[in-house]
Amino acid sequence: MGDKTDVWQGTLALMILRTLETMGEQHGYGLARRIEQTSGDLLQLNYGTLYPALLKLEQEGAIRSHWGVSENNRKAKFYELTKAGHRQVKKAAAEWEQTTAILARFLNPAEEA
Amino acid sequence: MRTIRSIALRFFGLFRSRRTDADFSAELESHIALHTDDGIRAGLSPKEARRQALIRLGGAEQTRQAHRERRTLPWLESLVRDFTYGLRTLGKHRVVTAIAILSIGLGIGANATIFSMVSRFVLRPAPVGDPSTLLTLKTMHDGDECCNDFPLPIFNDVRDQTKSFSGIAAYDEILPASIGGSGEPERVWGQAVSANFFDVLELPMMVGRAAGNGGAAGVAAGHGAHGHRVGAWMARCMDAFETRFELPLRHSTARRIHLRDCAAAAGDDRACSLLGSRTPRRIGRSHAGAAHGVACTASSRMLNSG
Repeated sequence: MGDKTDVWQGTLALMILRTLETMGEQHGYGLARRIEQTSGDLLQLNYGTLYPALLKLEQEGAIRSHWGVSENNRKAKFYELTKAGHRQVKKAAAEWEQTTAILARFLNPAEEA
Repeated sequence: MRTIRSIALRFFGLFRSRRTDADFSAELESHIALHTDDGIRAGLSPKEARRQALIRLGGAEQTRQAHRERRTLPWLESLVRDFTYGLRTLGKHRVVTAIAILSIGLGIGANATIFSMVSRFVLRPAPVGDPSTLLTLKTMHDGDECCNDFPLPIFNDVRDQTKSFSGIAAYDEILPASIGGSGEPERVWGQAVSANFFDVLELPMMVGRAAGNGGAAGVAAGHGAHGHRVGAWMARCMDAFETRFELPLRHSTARRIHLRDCAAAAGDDRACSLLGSRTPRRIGRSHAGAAHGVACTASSRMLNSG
């Protein structure tokens, strides 16, 4: 457990959007598990924080939700990306890549030389 | 745009809190059930699996609270709650509330009145050219300040011969009048003034012109009177009148100057006789820079000789 990292501020929304983009519609629990799996179980995700983040994205119009039935026949609320959400993923991903690229230059100055 | 949409939705979320609460509770239950199913499949007892699910969730109630805070505008919600609580409390203590409202109302009223008076009389000078050169002419009786109404001949002499004043005018008390004309009769308040009154006060007339010379007088109607009706009234009152105007009459900043040894005498005053046998008040404008003492002496001499 000690090796796991908390989710950094502001990155959860991008993780959710990206997961929904690759997996299609998904319920909250499925999303949480998928995010953990994608991180190679390195992320320590408090599942409770996922729902306010989902609500925020829904309020912003990036995702929408509807009630459905899960693979093991349980009633669950499913989330999927909207058109605006697709655009937002691309934009946010590009911004994040730029940020990490800039940081990488600081962390590996030798590469530049 | 996204932020505006989000705030709007959170605002409307205030009004359907109960339904969305139930909706989220169902979603949370479904989350715990799915997680518990996974735990059971991994070999945990149902009880333990549910416990683990709740632990990973970080507490159902905490999650509900975080969701609720994101769903609405908590600060607005508590503001509304505080406001309604305040109203309820006020409603319960009606006497205290009434006294408080009354005292605050009176306080505000008194302050507004004082401020408007200070603003009008102290902060903003009267619209009469340089107010400091505008003087009220007063007579003295046995060394004491007396009156500023004196007979027309003296007024005429002072006006025509004094050199310390650029002009001297007369005005009377506020006069009531009934204006008939073609419509309903209306009671208006006016003031009888000498024809040069507006020149001396450097007040622009808003309508018409002052007529007459020498002792003939004009009438200034206060705010609110209708110009054409005042005109009709004046035309009936006196031949010399062709005046129609409305203007604010303010000369409260005029300073007093004492004309010694001049007896006040009420008497025939042609200037305003048509508007009642009254003796008009005098007001003068000294030349810019003329010392008030000089103006006083010069006028006194004239009054004595008159």
